[in-house]
Amino acid sequence: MHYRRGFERDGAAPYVFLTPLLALLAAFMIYPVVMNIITSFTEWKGYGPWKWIGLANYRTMIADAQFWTSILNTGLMVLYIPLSTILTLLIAAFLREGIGGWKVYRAILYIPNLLGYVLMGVIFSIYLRDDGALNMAIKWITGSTIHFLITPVLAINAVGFLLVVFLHLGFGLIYFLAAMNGIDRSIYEAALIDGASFWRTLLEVTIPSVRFAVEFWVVFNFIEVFARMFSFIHTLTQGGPGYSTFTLEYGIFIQGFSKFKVGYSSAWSVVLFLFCAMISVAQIRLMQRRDV
Amino acid sequence: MKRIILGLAFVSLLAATSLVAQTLTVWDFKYSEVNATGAQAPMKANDAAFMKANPGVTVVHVAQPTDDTQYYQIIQSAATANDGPDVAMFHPGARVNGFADVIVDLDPYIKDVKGQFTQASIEMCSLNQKLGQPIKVLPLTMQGFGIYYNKAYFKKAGLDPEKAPKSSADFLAACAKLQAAGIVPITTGQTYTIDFFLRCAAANSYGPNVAGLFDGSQKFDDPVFKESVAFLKTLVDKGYIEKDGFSRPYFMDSIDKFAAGGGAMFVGLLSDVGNWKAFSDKLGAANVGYFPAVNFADGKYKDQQVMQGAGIGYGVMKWSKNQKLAAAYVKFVSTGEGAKTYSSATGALSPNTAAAGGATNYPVLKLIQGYLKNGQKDYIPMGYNGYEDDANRLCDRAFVTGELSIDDFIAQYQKLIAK
Repeated sequence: MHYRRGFERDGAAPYVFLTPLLALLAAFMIYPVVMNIITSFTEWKGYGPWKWIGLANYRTMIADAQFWTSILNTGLMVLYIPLSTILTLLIAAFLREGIGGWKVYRAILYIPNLLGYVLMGVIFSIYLRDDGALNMAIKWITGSTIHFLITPVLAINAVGFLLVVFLHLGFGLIYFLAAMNGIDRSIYEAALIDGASFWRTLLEVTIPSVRFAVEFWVVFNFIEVFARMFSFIHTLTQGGPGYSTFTLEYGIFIQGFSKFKVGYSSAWSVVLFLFCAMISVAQIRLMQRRDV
Repeated sequence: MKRIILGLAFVSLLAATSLVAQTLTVWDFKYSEVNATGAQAPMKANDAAFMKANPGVTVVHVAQPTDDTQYYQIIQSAATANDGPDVAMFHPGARVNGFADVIVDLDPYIKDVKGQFTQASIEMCSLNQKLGQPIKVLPLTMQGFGIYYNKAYFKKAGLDPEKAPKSSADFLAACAKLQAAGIVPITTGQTYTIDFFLRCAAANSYGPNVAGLFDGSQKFDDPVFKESVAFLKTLVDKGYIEKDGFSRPYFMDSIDKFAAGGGAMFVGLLSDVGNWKAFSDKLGAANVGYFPAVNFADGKYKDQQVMQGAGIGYGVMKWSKNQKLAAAYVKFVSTGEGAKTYSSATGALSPNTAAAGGATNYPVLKLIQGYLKNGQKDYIPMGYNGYEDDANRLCDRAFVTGELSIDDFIAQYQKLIAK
């Protein structure tokens, strides 16, 4: 028998080193998740006594039009992930070729990431308003205004494009360029000798070589769309006009912290948790496949 | 020996001082207002006066977020921890009801001053807004909404500046003339313009029966209210309500725009921000006109003034170790000189009859005080926590995005009440 239990084989040291991390994980990940699931079966306003109500919150949620609107809006944001992936990959491939001054472009494109979602939300709320800078320019050229933030279809698409495509572009470029730097130069040289065009090299050399990075990028974007949009939406549209940009994550905030229905809000959070868990499982599978 | 005795005396004095010394922490969503009619200056003055009247007491006034959602989230966190400020500012109504179990009943502390406050304010500050229930906060202001107008622009457009366009026909004609003269008829402050207009319309449609909307004896499909909704839609569709303002990120920007001459009319407030004083100080006291609502020919009531007996007020938190002192502070700032200091600096209307009045050099205030005799309740604070958010999202859908027809809006607005 070569197999020995971990503790006998490795001694106490690894467990001692792991303990702080595991304690943090338990305190800030496992405990909140478990408590959230328990809370979802209660009527609770965030303080004071709880009242156990079984599945009532889930029944209310299923009958709640706001919940389904939030799922639909979150789904619409997901549709921007392919565009984000293709555009970022394409620009990274151009930059890899070494366009003059590419380091400057890269730095400029990374600025939104440095500013963060809150600041970018505020900036775009000023920029996109009907009497904002962009509309002033549009009005000067066309004579009319585009109601970016008060037309539902434009508002949700503005949030989707800005958040999923534009705000991720800088980080995506750095990420894909790093992945592309790992590709053996001789493959590109061989493609060049064979007379392969830029597009053929991209499709048959670059993308297959950074496939894992692309898969990870897609998973990362899913997590962002489901669980990291709140601050941008809150500062840009506050979920409006009406419920046009009211996502699952934003709904959790409104139910829990505006209406103080923390129990009900937790039921929404369980749904969000399930979505994120599915995405994480997909990510783990991808990583396992690469290990094989 | 002499030194030892002196030393002991000094130590005893220090100990005695520390026993007497008390710190009172106040959380406030108005304290960050530092503009000309902002709340911070009078609050600082009141805190200083209270500390002077109570030696050994230090008031720590904390400016919390002005945004409702963020502010009450912080109060919610304090309630979860069962620790926080001694005194906190609240909006009487749904917000106070939501936190009622962590707010001290003020009744035993305010017996001597309760009679100074209007009955409407006491009702609004009581649990579930019912007289006879425990009083949870003492009001600093009363609130209401109405339509302010810039007389100079009326004159420029060929209108009689001394004649407010109170009837629906006059109002539409005025908007058309203003627009033709190149003046923005109504400066818009996000969806609040719609929200405030509907509150005014409800007071004018239902008169003393507004509360019936919540007990089921009244419905939003009342013909006059419905006419008001359709009228509002017309104002939007004709561009009389400035569409740019719907996407303006901050309501305060619209107040500033109107105060800077950026429009002829503004659906504003009676207290807090965007009130008679703020506009009069900027546009000229004699240049600001006011009327409480648009009247319709079929309406049973005319010139009704929507009114919240109490707009904002202070409550004492149950976790406070200085509840008696905290109650004394609340009383101090909402009565006597405290109330006068706040009202005169900010333009807020005080519900304290002993402190009301003053500011006689503002003609528009006299006008408002006259309309207040027709004061009717505001229905929004009668709803649940978050009711205003839901109601405003419906307003967005009907008036901003055009997703809902008038009938659908009325039906869904009614459904919200049932929640």
